[in-house]
Amino acid sequence: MQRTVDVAADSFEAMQRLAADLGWGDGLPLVAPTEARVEAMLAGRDPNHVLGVMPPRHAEVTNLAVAANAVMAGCPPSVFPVVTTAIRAMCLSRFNLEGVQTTTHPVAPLVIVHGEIVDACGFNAGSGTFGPGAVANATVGRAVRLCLLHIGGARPGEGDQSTQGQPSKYAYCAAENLPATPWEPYPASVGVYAASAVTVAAHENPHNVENHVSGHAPSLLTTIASVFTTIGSNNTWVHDGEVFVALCPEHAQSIAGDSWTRRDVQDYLFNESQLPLSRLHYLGYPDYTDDQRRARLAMWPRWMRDLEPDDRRVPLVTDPSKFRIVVAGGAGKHSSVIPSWGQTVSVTLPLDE
Amino acid sequence: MKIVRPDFTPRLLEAHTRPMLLRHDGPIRIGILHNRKQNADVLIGRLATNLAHDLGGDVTFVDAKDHAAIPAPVALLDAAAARAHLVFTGTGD
Repeated sequence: MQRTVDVAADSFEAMQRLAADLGWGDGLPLVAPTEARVEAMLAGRDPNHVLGVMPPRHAEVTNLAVAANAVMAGCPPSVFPVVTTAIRAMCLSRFNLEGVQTTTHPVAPLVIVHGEIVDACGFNAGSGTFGPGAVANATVGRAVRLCLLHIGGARPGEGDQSTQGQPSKYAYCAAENLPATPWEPYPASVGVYAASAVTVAAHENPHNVENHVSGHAPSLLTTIASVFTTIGSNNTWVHDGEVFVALCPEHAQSIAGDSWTRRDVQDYLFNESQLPLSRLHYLGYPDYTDDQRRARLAMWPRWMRDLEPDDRRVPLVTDPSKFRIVVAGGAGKHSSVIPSWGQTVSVTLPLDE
Repeated sequence: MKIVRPDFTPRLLEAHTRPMLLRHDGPIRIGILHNRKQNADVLIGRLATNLAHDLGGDVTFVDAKDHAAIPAPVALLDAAAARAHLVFTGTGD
């Protein structure tokens, strides 16, 4: 494959025409990845360095191609290491990018940025961290998606079989609000000790949790658990999934004010986020055949499969550590629950050089 | 002027599986590899059975991935390749 392609002129119109002809892009206008812009993005890094292999196209991912996508997304060169770290993390086998890219579920990789790089590059960890407005969040999220489309081959309806998709498939990048975090930084909670780090996690959009009244851990966490505890989540049949809980600073402070640790939060959510086994079995619904019930059971832990489907409550994840607790956002009392696609594990890596 | 291709890759990695059975004279051997979703075995099974009937062949391989969301291991693909000329696979949502 050629590294470059000719474009009639370095004009907005010529770039958009070429992209349309070649099936590139996410539907929004693209910056032309000229050789000069890509070189500036690389900033001396080896263009041939391979970061991983990206399914479903099973293409080797080079710094060069990632830089081209970062230029197209509008990234300033300073955020390029965040993009390469995220790509490298997604290409690790435990992330199961093959499944993430091709499933009918709407899942999109969420990028969470941690540490010194947040302020250094202007990532928004405060009000509206999941939303628009910050160049760093928007362009990193978009660059990751463009890589998944172009290098990975996940075009909707082709490589990407998602039934409906979700808005975060355009861009999905937030930052940990470390000054507002009452516990150790999120990366340290998963064994990564670095000045800056990047987490990738294959999840749904954030589901809002409103609680303007509770000032203590049990009632706040009961509200949060209720948002996760539905029978429409993939976690009702794939128990290995993780759940990210993005606590707003005020909720986090209320919980920590009761001297609760992150582990206490995980334990409480694990015990509170449970459903009656009979509901998970769809007992009383004749349109569920025995075969269909068995198909759901196939991905449950053995101890749950062997239980009689009575009204005892069972957890929706295999252990408390599956609840991943991070603090993000600004003033106000809205947190979010971010359910997983299921057969994937989040990855946190120290930031690339 | 030139731009760098965003889909550039130095190499596409092919799955390292054994080659499919060579087809000689004799009935075609058809395989089924489904993903355990609730209708997958039915849909793919009927396609395979109908084709075998129409061509005078046999369904010689039926298996499933352990989990719909995890790629089939190479050993399973090799087993299918060893026992069939053509393998139906896919999902059945």
